[in-house]
Amino acid sequence: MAAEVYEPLQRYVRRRIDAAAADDVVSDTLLVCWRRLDDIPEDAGLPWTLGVARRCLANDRRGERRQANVGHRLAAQPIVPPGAADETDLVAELHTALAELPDTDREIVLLWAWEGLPPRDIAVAMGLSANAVSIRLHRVKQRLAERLGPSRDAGFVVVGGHTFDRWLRRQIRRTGGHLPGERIDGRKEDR
Amino acid sequence: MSDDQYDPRSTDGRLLAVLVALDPIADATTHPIDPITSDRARTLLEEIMSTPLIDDAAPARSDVSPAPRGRRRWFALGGAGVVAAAAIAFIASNGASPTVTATELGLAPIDPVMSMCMAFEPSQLAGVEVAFGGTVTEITGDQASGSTIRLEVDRWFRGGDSDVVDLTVPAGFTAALDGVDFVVGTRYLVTAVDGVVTSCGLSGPATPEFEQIFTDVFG
Repeated sequence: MAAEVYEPLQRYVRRRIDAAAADDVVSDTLLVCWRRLDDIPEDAGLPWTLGVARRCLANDRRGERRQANVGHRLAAQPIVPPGAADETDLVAELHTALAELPDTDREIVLLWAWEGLPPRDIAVAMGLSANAVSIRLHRVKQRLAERLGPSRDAGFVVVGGHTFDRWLRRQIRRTGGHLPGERIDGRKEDR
Repeated sequence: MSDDQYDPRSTDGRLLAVLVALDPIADATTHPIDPITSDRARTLLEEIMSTPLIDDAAPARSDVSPAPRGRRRWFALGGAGVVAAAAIAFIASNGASPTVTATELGLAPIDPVMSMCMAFEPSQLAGVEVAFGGTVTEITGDQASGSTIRLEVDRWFRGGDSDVVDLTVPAGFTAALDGVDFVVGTRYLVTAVDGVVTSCGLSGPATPEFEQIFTDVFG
């Protein structure tokens, strides 16, 4: 199971704090898992582990500060290589919208988009009911989608000179095979 | 994943794509992730596995004899400790004369990533072919070239009668059992199947509780 969680755990943590601090959080998280082996649900090891990591981040004062500033972190990163104006506008808009979300909502939508978890696994990671997560995720997606506005280019958003579809696949390849919306273990998300 | 599930024209598809663009580590070349097979992962996982466990919960179990460390369910960490524990070849020799009853048994390499421990149950001991108690007297060699752990046997439960048992650890693996290094002077209860020491709590440091289980199982 550690083999299953080790790499996605690193991604989860490194998306939320800088690489130097991430190592400590990954180590702390694995230690908690080792000590609480008997508590790890058989069918939800990864989301359970990410829930531990989330609490480790919150418990770590530095982590807490950084996590609270995830919006700033987002703001500091280079977003997309220069391309069509459309792309920059879109990404910048969503960027702002994300930073404005309440922490829980932002975490839910990022667990969906970045970690690729389905609602039932997000629920495990967040310590919420699957129902509550589904409702909140739906609302947050709606809210963010409104910020994006209607799709352009006759239905295709042009990003980086490609149609959205090609661009999305390129993004997926860049992440090293982590397909958004697909679980790390290869199971398809039920949405 | 079907294409229509992520139709870029769908609301979810558009949103996902833009969110992915915001992923701080989207570029795997500038944000490499340490693979589970790396030396760094191995070191980290070995350290964690050799951390003493603290039973911080389960008061309901307080009436049960505490299990020796390492017997709890563990998942395969791919750590060298796990590998070594399962890959220790078992060679029994009668004293210093290996020709007398020397027994060299095969080695069963395992996939460290796929291996997994079941929750320890005393009944699992019934299936082992070799079981003894002994104290480590000497550890020779090193991880790079392979090592040998010599135990002086004081009690045979099953499968042998020699005074000395050598556990051979292949090159590249640490002399550890369930992630915990063997220590000279420490007494262990060791079991083996097909010439390979069984880990996952079926072998470990000899505590009175663990020995009682052996006595109950082997008679």
